[in-house]
Amino acid sequence: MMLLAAEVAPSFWHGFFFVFFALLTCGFALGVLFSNNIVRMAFYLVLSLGASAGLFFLAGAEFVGAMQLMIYVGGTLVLLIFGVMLTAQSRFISMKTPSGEWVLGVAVGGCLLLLLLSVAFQVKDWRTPRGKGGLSLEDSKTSSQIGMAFTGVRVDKLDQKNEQLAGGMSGYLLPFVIVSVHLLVVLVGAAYMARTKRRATATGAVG
Amino acid sequence: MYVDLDTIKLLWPELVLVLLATWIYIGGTIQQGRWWWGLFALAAYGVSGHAVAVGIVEANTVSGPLTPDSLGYVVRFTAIVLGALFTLVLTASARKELASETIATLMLLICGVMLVGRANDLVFLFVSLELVSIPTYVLLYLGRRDRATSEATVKYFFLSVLSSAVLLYGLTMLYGVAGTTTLVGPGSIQSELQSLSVDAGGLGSLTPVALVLIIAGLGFKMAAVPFHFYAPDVYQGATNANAGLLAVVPKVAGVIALIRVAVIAMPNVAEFAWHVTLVLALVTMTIGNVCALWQQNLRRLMAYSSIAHAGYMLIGVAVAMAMEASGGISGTLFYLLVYAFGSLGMFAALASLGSDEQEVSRLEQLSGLARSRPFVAGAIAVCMFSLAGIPPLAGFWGKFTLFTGAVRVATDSGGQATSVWFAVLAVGGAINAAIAAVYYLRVVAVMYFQPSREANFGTNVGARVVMLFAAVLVVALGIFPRSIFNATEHAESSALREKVAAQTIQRLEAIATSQQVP
Repeated sequence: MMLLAAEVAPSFWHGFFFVFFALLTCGFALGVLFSNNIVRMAFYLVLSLGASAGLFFLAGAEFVGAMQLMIYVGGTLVLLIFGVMLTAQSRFISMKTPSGEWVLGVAVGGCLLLLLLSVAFQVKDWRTPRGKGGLSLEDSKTSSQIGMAFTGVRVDKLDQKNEQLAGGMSGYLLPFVIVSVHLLVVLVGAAYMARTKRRATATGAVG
Repeated sequence: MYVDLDTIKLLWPELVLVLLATWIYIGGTIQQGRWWWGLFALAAYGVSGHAVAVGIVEANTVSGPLTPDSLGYVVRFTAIVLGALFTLVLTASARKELASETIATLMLLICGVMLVGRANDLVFLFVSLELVSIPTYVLLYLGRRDRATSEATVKYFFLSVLSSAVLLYGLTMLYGVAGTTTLVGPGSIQSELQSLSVDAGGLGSLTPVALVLIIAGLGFKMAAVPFHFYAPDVYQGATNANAGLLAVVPKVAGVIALIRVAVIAMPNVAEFAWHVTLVLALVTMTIGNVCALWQQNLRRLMAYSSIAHAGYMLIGVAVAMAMEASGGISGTLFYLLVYAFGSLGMFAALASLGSDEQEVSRLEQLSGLARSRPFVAGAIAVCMFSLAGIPPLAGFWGKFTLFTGAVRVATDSGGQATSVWFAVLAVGGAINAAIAAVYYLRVVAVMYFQPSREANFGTNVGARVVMLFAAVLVVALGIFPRSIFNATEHAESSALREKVAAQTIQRLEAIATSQQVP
């Protein structure tokens, strides 16, 4: 990936930002790994995920980039930091990882890294540098297409004439509807969790 | 192109369940009462089952993310039957003020399994699998309110979320390689991958990674090694009814999703896939059976047994990957059904013995059960014999089909190495069946040959009905396995027919384009 960025000379800034965001992502990811303080870990994770959103923007996937910012940086991590703040006790704030778990973690993570690296280098397209005309930096406006696909219309495939092929291209309305059923279940579960806490203390006071 | 009326029609049984589950959620706030909503839910399953049965007639409408093959129908009928049975168990054992929530959440869970059964689209498949996972968390939590349950629930929740992330990673890779989210059919992942070689240096070399991640993510749902470690702890912390639910329902969803994605839709990595699955099957069976030998807690014992059975099912999956139309899918499905009812019967029997004060969880609590509760002991014995695979019962036929499948690949396949691998698999399976018999028979021995002890067992009517139903079904399937075999064989051929049809269409299109060019 780094090699690729270096080869793309015509658009210097594209390469520059790629290296910049990639370094930020990797550096802060390592920061998460080597830090012992859970608040710092959360902060490093914010920066790492934010920088990877930058990579998505560079790749022209602005919808994914925006989602990355909104969901991970905006939602999940704020939740994480609030969770840490609410349960902040000294023994939870600093995490000491036993050496056995380090070995296990490095083994599992290392295997995945090796697998991904070896596979990534097997793909010829990704190894060979592109010529001068190979890179196009037009921005792809995918958000509205994705939005339409959620309502069941694949606007990017409307020109498909083949009935057989068109049949498999109905959008993502049904999955979108199923997600609302997920939310219903989650709400019921959350209501129950909130209710038990009160009841538990109430019965505790009586008993 | 659009989600049209045909799709809605195909989804009618699932829609019924979602609508009525919502109705139960709302109605439960007004009208409390166990059997009121329990019977309502049974009626809902009846309506939904009827809708599935009626829907078979118009089965040849292919519509977007749904596949109408008969594999889907087998899964949906199984899901509905399991849903009705678990409703009976849970209605009788849930607390009165939570009965409606429990029943409705179970209904959505069953709806999730039904959707997994017919998903033909990666996005659809993933959200359906989540519709299995999310209600499971809530149900585990609703089961009982103490530290052990909370711990088990949290453990299951975090590991399940992790496994979903791993699965999603794999599905993303698959989408990246194929460029479409449709699994089978014209212009689908399956037909795209057909022409992609793994070694050619193209995008095809990413498929093995996708496969490994997908097997890992679904392996958690099936409780297969190396994602089995949660099962004993979580089952131990859950109630008997919920442990039964965990042992059966996610496994059905996981196996079906594995068949749909890894077996049918990824033809270019079949060689690599069966190697991985075969090794996993051997390791999973052995770990499950050996660890089960010294368990004293019944739910831990059943957890290891469920791990071992996941290993047996992987035998069928490996057979299906190694040789097309070899009966692997049909054998796996049959085994899944047999396992589901055997396991369900055991957990229902345990739930029926529990009372509000005390639940049965240790093996010695069953001692002398044959004298104090002869019917329950008999049902447990039948389920244990079936799970062990002793001849007249259904479990025997399940193991028999799986092992003969492995032997068939060993003898019929051309390659020397393939034969050796599958011969090892068949022998390993047989040895494991022998090991498994030890701990299943130990349960029976405790019930029949140890002095009975004073115990105040509960009387859970719903669970008792389910237990007897499961035991009778296990015996009946053992005597008349042909009916279910026909269904599963038809399911396999119909699931693969989609594949063959897609290949033919692609070939015809290729010919058509090659003729147009000059």
